[in-house]
Amino acid sequence: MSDKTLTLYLAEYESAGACVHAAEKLRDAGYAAFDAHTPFPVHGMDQAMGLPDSRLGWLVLPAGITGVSLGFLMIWWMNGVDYPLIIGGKPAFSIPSMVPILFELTILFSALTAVFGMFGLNQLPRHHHPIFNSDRFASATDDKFFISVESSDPKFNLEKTKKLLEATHPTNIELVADKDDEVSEDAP
Amino acid sequence: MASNVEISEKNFMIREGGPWSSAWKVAAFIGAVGALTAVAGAMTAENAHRFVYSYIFGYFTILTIALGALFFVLIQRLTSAGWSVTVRRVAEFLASGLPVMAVLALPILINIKHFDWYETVAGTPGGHASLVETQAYAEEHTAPAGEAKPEAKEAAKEHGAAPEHAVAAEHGATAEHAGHEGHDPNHVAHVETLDKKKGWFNLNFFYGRAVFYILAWVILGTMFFNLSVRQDKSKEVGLTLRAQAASPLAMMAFALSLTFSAFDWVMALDPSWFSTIFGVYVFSTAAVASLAVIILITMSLRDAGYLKSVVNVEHFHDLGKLMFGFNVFWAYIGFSQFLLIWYAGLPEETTYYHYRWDASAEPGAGAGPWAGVSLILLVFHFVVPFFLLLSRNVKRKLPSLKLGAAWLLVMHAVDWYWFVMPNFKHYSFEFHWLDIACPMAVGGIYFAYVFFRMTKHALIPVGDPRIQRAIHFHNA
Amino acid sequence: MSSHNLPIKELGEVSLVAEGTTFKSITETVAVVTETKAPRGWWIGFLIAVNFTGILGAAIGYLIWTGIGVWGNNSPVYWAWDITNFVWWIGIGHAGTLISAVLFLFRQKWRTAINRFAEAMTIFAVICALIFPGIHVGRIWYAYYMPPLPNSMALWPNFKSPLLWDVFAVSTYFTVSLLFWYVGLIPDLATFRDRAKTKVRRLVYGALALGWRSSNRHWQHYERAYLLLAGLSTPLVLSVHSVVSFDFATSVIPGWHTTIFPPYFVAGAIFSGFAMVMTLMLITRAVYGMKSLVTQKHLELMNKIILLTGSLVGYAYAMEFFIAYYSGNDFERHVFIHNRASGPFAWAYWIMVSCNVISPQLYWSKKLRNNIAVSFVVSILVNIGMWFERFVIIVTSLFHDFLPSSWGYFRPTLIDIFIYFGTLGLFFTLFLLFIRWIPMIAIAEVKATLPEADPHWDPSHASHDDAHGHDEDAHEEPAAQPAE
Repeated sequence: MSDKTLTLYLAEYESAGACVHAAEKLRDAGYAAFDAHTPFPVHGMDQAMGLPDSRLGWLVLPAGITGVSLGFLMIWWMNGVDYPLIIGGKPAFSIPSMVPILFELTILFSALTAVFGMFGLNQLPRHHHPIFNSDRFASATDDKFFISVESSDPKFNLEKTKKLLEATHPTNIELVADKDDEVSEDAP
Repeated sequence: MASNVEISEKNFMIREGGPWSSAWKVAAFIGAVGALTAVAGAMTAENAHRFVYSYIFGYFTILTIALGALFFVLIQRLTSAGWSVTVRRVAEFLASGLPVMAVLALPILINIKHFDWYETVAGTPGGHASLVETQAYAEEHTAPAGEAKPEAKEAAKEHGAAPEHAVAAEHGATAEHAGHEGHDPNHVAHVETLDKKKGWFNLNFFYGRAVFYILAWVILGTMFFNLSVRQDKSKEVGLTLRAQAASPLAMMAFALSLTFSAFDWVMALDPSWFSTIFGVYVFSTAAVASLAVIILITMSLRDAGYLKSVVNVEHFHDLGKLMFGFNVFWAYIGFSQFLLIWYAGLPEETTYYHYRWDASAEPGAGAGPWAGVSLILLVFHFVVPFFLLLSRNVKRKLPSLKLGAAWLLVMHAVDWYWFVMPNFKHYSFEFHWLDIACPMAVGGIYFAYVFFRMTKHALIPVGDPRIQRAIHFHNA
Repeated sequence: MSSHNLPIKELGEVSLVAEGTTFKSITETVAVVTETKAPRGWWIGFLIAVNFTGILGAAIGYLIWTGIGVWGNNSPVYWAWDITNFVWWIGIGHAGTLISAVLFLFRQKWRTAINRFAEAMTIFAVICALIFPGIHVGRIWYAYYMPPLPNSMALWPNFKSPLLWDVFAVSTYFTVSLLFWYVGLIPDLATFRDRAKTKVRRLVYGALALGWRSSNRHWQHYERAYLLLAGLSTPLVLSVHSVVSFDFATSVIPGWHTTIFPPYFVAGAIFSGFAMVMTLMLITRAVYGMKSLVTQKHLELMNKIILLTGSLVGYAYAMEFFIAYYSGNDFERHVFIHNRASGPFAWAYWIMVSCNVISPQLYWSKKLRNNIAVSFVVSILVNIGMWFERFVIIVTSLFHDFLPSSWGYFRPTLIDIFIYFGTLGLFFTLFLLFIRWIPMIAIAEVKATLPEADPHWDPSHASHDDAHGHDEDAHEEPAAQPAE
């Protein structure tokens, strides 16, 4: 992907609490390109990592408004202008009977945006990530908690970062490199 | 977040001398002024009829708050909720005012002759006189009226003819009857329809039902309050279990009393109109208004320096979400009723919306004064609060949530005005000073009682076994 | 947040997961189902279900070849089993959305054990439901008339028709349910990927997991998306069954035109859906040993919801009956008294009332709520009762219409019966495949409900609650884990 190979430190923890404390330490030390990997979303981790609030809602609201507007235009054009029909004594273009469809389109547009917006913000699907080169990392989806610090972080330093991580009492620390030749083996 | 205040009764009592210790006096004053004015109105001949409508408007505006608070308490008990324990007591105070609301129902019950159906069905001489006349008219001018005819005739014979129009002239509301009596096919249909409902609009049965509502409210309002405050002292876990065990049956009594009191005292103002969803509709207003009041009272208690350690933004966020959700529910129910009646277009049902939209009974009369109120409800009860309260940040900022709650409370009153008042005089909007006096009377008396009880008990259920869970509650 | 969230024993609160459950044991219990050979029971069920699906295919083929005259529908009963089945299936689907969305919003953590299940059920039920409007048009090659597509006759659909609202509502519902389900699955598919022992599993689950690496930066947006989907699905689920009810209630047919239909249909839908979740859950739980994750507590809570929604449905029946009287409308009264409570279809009406209103009342007793046999029987009864509810609504309002000379009776044909039971076959086929290959319990979500998921959890405090402390390896998973 990039010319510079990405390496990262991967620290492993037994409990959610230890992982949160480690994240707090990294945040306070000024790291930006670090992440926590936990089998489930851990309460309070967002604050511990210093993450801003998710912006996803601000994508969904305009999508919903788009849905309702497009629906309105569609029905207005099709039933009100292009092919007016009087049904049940109601005017060709009547607003009350539009409401169900306008509602459904609002929900449809919003839901699609919520899901694909989430994928976009998370940059998923993603074919490969160096973190998968770690053999231990498989338990991040099972019962272990990890902190990763990427070499792209300006504060990243092989010695200092390791020291900082060691101070958080991980059960294991490893340096994971992006070994391109082995990617096809380990990547999902 | 963690509380430094010890969770004990004495730390959560209203302090002497503060605004909350005398709040009940203010409410009582408002109630007294309203009550005196309303009674003065009720005593005069020209306002007696108006009084009943204004009173029902005021009564249901407040009753729905009390019943909604009872619903809040019941649902927390039913779900064994932990998050809401520290705000539950405010709802319990509000629900404990239900016995007062039971007493305040009396002005409706003693004024039953002002209901539109009374003279037609309940067997008063005046009513049957008109029935005879319409029957004669029906035979002359319209197709045979069907099975109802002989029955109606018999009923009329049974009571004999009596000075017609006497009752009608006495009450302004029946001006319509007096005017068109015997000459309007719609009126014939109206009387025939009512004749088929005589079993329901039977005076003994009507009062019997009222006794059931009143008993249900007295028992439920008292029981759940007592179970909770007794725990303040005893800390007995068994009281929680008893409240939880009683909640399902209580919920049934709540649903039935709310539905049928609304049928009897509001829907029956237009006795030929009916809607199966009406009980649910009234419930939705109750849920929104009670949550708004719970939010407002809890916030102003906090502003006065109480509850700071036990009620925080997380609780308000949840209450705000519930209020928002139930307001959407209100719109959903209101729209469902409208859509179905509008779409089918049956004349016996569309009257409801004609009275609340048209300028007159003439076809194609266009929008009248009530159309504005209908639109206000659509825009300011639903659209504006929806966008105002949609965002998470708004619900988590106390001033903006407070604005939303106060706003919805005002719209709640408008909603009830819209439910009741078009029945007073169809197609015309006439504001009357009794429309202010009656809500003042009912609201003042009710809140005086509620605020007075607040000075006597702890503001949170200090003995509830789940209280720590509520204090440390976080929104996910 | 450590001690006060633990169950309070004096109040009868219990842990949502059995004692000794750990992160690892949850993963194992759920994953092992898809990694080992299917038990014989699965194969028997699958073969039966596939056979029924075959019958469905044959019956639909015959119907398309011959025309919908092969159904028992007649004049004036233009709708009968087809729409009954459609509404029944859609209704069953609603419990899935309710459990995944509404209970999520109300923070009912017990939902985590059953939500995946229920969401899968939603999708399969909606697929079964969609068959009926698809084939009931007769000439299914004209089905493309339903969406607003430009066509050579320059016609547009009639947007004032509740049937078209249905098209939008049900297709939106299907899309959103599928998205919701898939979003929930991603972390669990990643778990399967990371456990994969074979290349095929690694490739398939790896592709489906989209490269998920459990990153907290991802969890943050993920959780917000989940919350938004829950917030969107809740009004959606209300709207879908409301729109279905509009099919009936916008008309002027006595017994159909009543304003309580929208919320009443929604309550009934949730009711039937919970009953179906209960039926499926009881079977699966017994076959696959999920008792540590789906505990008695879960079953009891579900039974309480069945009691609640059953009572709501009873309220709606009572309102309909009462207002039919109160309206003073002779036709309404006639339908309820002479076409439903008595008359040729009284049997169906009373099956409906006894199954839907009376049978859940057993659950007032705590003992019966916790009895597996009773739960199973009642769940089946409710499914039957809710089918009859739709049958009663549709047939009894039509068979005696405004023209007495055309009054008749409705009898289903063999094809009606084949197609109905065929959809059951399709439903169970899809369901059994789901159980076989997809994590049937939301692994990540259940893990988050364990006490040790809380970062403030202190193992020394937990001792009074239950035995499991830090020695996670000491507790082996309760489910049988055959040697590999």
